[in-house]
Amino acid sequence: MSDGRTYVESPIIMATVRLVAPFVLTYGLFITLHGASSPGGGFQGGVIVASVIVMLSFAYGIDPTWEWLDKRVLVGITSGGIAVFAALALGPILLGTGGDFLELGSYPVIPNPWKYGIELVEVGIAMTVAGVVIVLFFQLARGAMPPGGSPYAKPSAQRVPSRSRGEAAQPGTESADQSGDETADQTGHEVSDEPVDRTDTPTDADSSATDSGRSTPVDDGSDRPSPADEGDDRR
Amino acid sequence: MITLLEAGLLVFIVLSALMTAILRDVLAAIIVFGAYSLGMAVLWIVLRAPDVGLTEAAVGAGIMTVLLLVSIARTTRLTGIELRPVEINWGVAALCGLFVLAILATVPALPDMGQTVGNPVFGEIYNHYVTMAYEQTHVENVVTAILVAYRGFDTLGEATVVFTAGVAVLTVLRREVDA
Amino acid sequence: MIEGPVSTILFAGALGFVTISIVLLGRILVGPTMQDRVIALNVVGSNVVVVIALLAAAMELPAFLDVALVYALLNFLMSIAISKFTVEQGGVL
Repeated sequence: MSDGRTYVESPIIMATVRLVAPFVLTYGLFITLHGASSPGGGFQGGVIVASVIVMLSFAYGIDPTWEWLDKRVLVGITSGGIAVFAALALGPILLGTGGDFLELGSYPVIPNPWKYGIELVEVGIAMTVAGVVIVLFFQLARGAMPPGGSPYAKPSAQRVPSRSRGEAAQPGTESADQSGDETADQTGHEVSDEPVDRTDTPTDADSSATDSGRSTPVDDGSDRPSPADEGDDRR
Repeated sequence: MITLLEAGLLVFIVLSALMTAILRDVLAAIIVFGAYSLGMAVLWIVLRAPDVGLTEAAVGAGIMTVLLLVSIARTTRLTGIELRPVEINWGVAALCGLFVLAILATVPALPDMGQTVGNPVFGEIYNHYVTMAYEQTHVENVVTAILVAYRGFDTLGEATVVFTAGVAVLTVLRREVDA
Repeated sequence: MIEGPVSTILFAGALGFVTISIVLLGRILVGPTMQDRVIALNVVGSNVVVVIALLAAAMELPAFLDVALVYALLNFLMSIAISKFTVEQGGVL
């Protein structure tokens, strides 16, 4: 989606995210690393760190953010977190200092082995959780906004509940297979071929223009239906 | 005053939970679900469980809403259907009400909040954790100490479950991470 | 519970904010537009931040402010997620 059709640029959100993101990231790391002394820990901190990426992708577009991310780092932190935890758990046995499995207190040399061991474990948990949440979000979100709009944003049928069920199935199944640009264009065709009655939405100019045979819904991102139409639909 | 506050919070939570079920528009239901999780977090704070409140804040308010949103973005919106009110099956509702009454009838038998005498929660294990956790682990937050030190095996399993879930999602959605 | 006039006032303030949140649920229920609901949710979120801060002060447990901070930061994420979603692709839902 390099043409940016599906991405509505908002200077307010971009500026705010640019301002807020570093603080959220710092706070997530604080929650993770300070979990031993204050509320928090690896799970919460990891989720907050991941929400920074989610925030960035909402401000700068989901696909550009996904391309910007280094996937090797993602895989690295996700499996690395478990590896850190497992290594710390096995360490007391492997070192041969007489510790049991997960007995973090038996590490030599380190001044306060329980506390720092626990904090390292928290870091491991946070790495795994952050990686999994980021991957989960992007796997769900990448196909969710195909060119021409998500099916959810299109009014499939107005005031005709019985038929809307039937029509709902079509775009849903289209986007269910992995929509690259081709399948997504097909989705646009599918929607444009449907005989949707729009007698009660006269202001919805751009989507009816799409319906009347334009092959690709190019300018969908620019104009919106009027609030009056809006209130009519919503109730 | 705190009792009134708890009552208000419970009203808020129950109302938002009911609205999540009643609203036909999925997007509106997600928004109410966000409100529900906000109410829950305050309740955790009132019950003095900041760790759980923090989890509720991070997961319920932040990530859960976003994940639900991107999930319904793949679906089609039924604009006609939400006009109709929810058809309530009164038989099922009565059955649910009976269950709720049966469960509520046991509530007075529970020990009061914070009651130490005759409360099975405050037993030997509780005393051991509260008195020994700092001496044994030098960690101020008892929750973290229990989570990682006393029940580390459980937490290791939990982290593995999270990792496995991530791998499973990658497999199911069939999007390979292009390295 | 900590007793005293100050914490009673703080609890009363928190109760007031919770009452406002309950009223706001009505706005979320009736809508009518999605913007109304998003704004109402945002106000509920801000209320929750204040309530948690008041409770932290009333119970004299400053560690609880961490939770308020998380909410203040993530409430923003929730709002932009819903609002970006509702204006996506040339239509206000």
